[in-house]
Amino acid sequence: MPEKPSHQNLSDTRGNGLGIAFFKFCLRLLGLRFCLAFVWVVAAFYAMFDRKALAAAEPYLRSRFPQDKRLRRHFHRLITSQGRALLLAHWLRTGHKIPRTDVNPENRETLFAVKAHGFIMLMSHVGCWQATIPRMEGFNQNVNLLVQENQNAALGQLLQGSRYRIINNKAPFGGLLECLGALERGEILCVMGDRLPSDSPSQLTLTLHGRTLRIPEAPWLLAARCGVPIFPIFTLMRQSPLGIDYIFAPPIRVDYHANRKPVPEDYADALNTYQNLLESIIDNEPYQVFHYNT
Amino acid sequence: MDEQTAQFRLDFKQKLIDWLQLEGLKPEDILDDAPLFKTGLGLDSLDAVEIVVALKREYGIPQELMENNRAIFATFATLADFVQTNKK
Repeated sequence: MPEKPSHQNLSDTRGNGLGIAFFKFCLRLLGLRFCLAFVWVVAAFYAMFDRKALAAAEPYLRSRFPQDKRLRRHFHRLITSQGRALLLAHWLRTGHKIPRTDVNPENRETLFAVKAHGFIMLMSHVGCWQATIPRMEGFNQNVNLLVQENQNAALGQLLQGSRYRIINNKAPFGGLLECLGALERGEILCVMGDRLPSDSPSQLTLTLHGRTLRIPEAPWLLAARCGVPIFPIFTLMRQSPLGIDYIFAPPIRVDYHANRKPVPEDYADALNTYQNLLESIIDNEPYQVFHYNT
Repeated sequence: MDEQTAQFRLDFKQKLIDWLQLEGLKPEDILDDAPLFKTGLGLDSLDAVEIVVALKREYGIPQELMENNRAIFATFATLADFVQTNKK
């Protein structure tokens, strides 16, 4: 078992060893479709009894459904959706394939056009975000993942036999010099864009439906300094019961060339674009956005 | 320390202040042997990125030389000596 980190995401603290073992057993015995259906029952348990999870999800749900009093119902759907995402991620980790659809293929083509010069793939806690990683196998390019220490073990299983390198954000300088080097070599850097690591030195803020979300500055600074585009990608579970829709958003460029360290205002246009994308996802797929206050 | 090195360090301190927008700081406030990161000057990982980019831009120092040599970031003096030795 990996050492318990000092700061955990809520999703890391849900479930217990017995429950996880049960689902793994069910996946082997009864298959993915059964488990995807059964997770609805387990989510009902959380919706009724897990006050900590409900409290953590409440700011997001209140911002999305401000007038609605059926908070637990929305929370149940949110937890069900997250359970499905975790099952799909495990399914991928164990070497299985899931049907996939690339949405906005023209943006994907733009991505392929610039991949020789490197770019930043910006993931968000939306849908089955872990599915982004095996999708990048087809890029035929070295992929570097800047991840939190507690995700290394699980993510490592998604990366076997591929051109992947994990950069631990607990490394000296948060792993950012390795990220810089990777982008300078024209490689892909994959990073989570919508959750601030607990010890992040600097932060930016987005306002999503009136709710403030603190996000890391690192991807935006790296994009500015390396002159590479940021490609947001969202992995939505819209095909029932199986399948991942890969939403390739248009590239975002950070136009900044001054010889001084940028300040948050220098990222305003780029951040606004990312904010609009996230708000659009929240509007259309409110139960696939996992923004918990932790 | 010879006069050339002393002048270089003074100029380099001013450059650091400008690059990193260390407002309210003067070159004489940066101690040669104080740590640059966390304690001391209190720089962070984003500042490290900014320094690496600036050294490449201003002095032509290859980034990989810094990426694999983190000891140079220990103090102002170690960084300044590295730059003075490797600048083009």
